[in-house]
Amino acid sequence: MKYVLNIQFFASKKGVGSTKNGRDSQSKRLGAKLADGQFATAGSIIYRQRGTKIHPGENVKKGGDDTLFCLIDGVVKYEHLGKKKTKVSVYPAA
Amino acid sequence: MIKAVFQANEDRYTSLDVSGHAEYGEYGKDLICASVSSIMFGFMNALDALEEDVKIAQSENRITIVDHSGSDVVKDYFELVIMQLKTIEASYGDFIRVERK
Repeated sequence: MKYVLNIQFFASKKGVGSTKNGRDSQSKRLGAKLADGQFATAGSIIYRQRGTKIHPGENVKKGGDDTLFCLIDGVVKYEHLGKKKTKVSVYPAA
Repeated sequence: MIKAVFQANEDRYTSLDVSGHAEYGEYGKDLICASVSSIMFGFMNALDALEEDVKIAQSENRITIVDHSGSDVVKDYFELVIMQLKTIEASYGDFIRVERK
């Protein structure tokens, strides 16, 4: 017999069943809020993060949710902290 | 939805083109697809056995059959198959449509 029956020949693609995935949480808009060289006013948020991807440097404090914010008006500076780490500091504008 | 489109002249069907997805159920459990597939594969094998001048083309989710033979047996096969498809359409018209081109 030449034509071998495919009993689902007119069905939509294989594996079109339901999926258990398809959910995701609301994105938290993490990351840098002020860039290197930008002017920051006291109390403004510099970096939102989970854990310390960026460490607090001069005139910068870490909040309860690891957010980094500056303590004084000044210019934002991202600097190396040892070999692999980064810190962010705020220096008073000259 | 499966579309079964036929052409006919005064006294016989001359072509049948069946395509689409039944979408009646999940792959492997689609009863309408199984019914139409069985009818069409049986039709193709029956025509093939006759060795008449009938063109059969099969691609993904599409079977097209064109009769150039003028044979009475082929004519009867066409009438049977289209009646079978119409029988399914009569009960499951949301999943298959049989219409003239």
